Amino acid sequence: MKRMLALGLAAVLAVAGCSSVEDRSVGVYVLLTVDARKSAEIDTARKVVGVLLQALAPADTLAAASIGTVAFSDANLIATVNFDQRPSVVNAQKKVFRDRFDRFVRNAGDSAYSDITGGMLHAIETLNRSGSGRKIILILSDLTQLPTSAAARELPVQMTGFNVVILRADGLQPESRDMKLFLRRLKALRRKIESGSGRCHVIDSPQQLEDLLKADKRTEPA
Amino acid sequence: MMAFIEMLMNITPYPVLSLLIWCAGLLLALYLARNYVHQLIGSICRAVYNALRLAASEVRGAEKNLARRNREVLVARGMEAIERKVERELSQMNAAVVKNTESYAALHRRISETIAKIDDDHRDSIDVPSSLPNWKPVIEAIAKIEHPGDALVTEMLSEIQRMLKEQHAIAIEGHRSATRARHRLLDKMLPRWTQTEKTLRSLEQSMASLAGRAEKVDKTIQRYRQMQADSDGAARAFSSSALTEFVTSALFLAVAAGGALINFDLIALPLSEITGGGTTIGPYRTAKVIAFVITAVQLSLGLLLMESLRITRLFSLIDSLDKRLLSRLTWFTLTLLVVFAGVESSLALLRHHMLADLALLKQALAGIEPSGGPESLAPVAAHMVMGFILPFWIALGAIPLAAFVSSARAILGNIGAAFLRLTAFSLRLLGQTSVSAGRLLTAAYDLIIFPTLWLEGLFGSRSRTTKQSAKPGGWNGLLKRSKKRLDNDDPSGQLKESR
Repeated sequence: MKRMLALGLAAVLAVAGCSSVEDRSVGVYVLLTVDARKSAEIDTARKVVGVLLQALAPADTLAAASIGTVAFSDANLIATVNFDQRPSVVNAQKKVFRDRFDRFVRNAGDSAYSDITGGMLHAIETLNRSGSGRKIILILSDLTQLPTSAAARELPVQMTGFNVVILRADGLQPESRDMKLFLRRLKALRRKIESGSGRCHVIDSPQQLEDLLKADKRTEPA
Repeated sequence: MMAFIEMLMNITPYPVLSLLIWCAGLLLALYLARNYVHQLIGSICRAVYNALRLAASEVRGAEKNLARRNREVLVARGMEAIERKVERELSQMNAAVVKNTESYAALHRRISETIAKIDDDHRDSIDVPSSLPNWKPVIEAIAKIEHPGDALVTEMLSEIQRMLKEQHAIAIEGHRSATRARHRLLDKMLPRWTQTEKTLRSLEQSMASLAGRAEKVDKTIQRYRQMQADSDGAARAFSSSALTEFVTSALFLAVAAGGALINFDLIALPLSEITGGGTTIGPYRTAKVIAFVITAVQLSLGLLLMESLRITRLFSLIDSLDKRLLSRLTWFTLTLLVVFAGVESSLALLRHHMLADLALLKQALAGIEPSGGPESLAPVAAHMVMGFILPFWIALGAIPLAAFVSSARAILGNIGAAFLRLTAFSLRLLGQTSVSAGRLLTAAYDLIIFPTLWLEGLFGSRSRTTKQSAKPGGWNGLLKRSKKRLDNDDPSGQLKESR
């Protein structure tokens, strides 16, 4: 009897001792430019955030910031959250995030330019600080950058371990007459990411984003 | 290569002639080497044949050993089952006898008391009340007395009539009360008789039950003796029962596994609320690992419970424990199971709330207004009841598991024996094929050099032919010689047996 009790206790201790916080958590930073007057843009942004909130699990990180600005700063941060380990708390955090994002979207104004580089630097810093195992920067923008000096735009960014996902969906890419220009910007951004040892993915729908997250087998319900 | 062929073709000015010369030379060489080649083919085939037959013999021996062992295990298992049955019957008989013996004294006293009371009552009721006096002739005689109207006589007669009536009424009343008392005594006797009859009937039932059990034990013992005497029949019967047990236990085990799966799913999600949704053990989530461990622990507890109740007998150590310890073990495992059931019921409630919360979140994310209707209690209750029942269900899965493990030994043994039999057959077949292949190669060789053989037959080499007929050469001769040698070399006779 004593031996059996000791064995049972040892098994429980082994299970408890082996438990560890995994470093394969996902961190997603959304950089977006939306205009409250353009419903297509808003719908896509909402859909993307919805997909992210459904897919992310406890211990993951989610942040969203607007890059529709001349110079990116902390004021452009819409919401950021490090999800708790407990699913019930995670659900509450997701609701709060969703509310903040909706409030931002309702009042978002148009901007002629976007500070992608500044946003990416902030995203890198935030995601590195969160300690996420898998870091994703999601860009929802037409990639129109501020015509600042070339030196500033070409500032090298170290992106080792980062996946930059650019969504080309309705409302987030220019009309067909400006498509060439958009593709040129996309090419330049891709070059910049890859020169910083990052990986660049271009997707066409929020569904593909879901698939991308599911590929990491981390999409169990919270 | 081409140059070499050309060189060969150029030994005469005519390539055809050169080819013919080479062919003739080759045939001559093959003819001269015929006996050696036949010997070589024969040796190789004989070696292959012997090796394969030896291997087949060994495999066959292993198969026989395994079959014998299987039979022993099967018979031992069947005998053990019969012994357990007899043991159980005897134990129940013992309990019944002890119970009856303990209550026999009280029963005897009760019956004796009842009989004594009945006897008393009967004795009291024997006294028949005296019959009423025959007043009629007296009254008639008095009535016939003539009275001429004398008042004194009339008064006297009236007085006599009144007295007679009074006496008659008193006599009737006395008779009635005596009869009533007798009837009362007889009435009291009836329930006593009924009670005595009932007691005797219960005694008879107990005796009949004991007799039935004794008959059952007798039959089982007879069967046991028959099985001991006819081990072949016993092995056949037990093999059939083992197969039936294997199939049925596998089915029940599958049902229990379904329950375990549902249990796992039921507790994995709420456990993530306790352990944290992001923690892992190896590549698996901690909550899922713990859910799996809890399910496995419930099955283990079920096994312990069944062992302590002596329903299954997988562990001889537990089987050898004394009754007091077994009883403690039973209560310990049962208590733990009840605790697990309670915990799982709470986890099921938590799961229900978590799922409802998740559904609300999904609705909010999809932009759907949540329905504000009152929540029904039925799903919550169903979740909780399921959470309470499933640990016991998993624990009960220990019974088919034990039966499966027990019968799997016999079934796997039979499958292993069949596999070895098939292997032995395949090896023997390959050995025979190697013999046939040797014959075929020899014949093919002779077919290639048939012109030389034809010439030999034509020009006659009588001495050689005579020698060959005296001592068989070629494949047949070699085969016969190899068989003889093999018989001499193998004193154990295994090869002969395998043939």
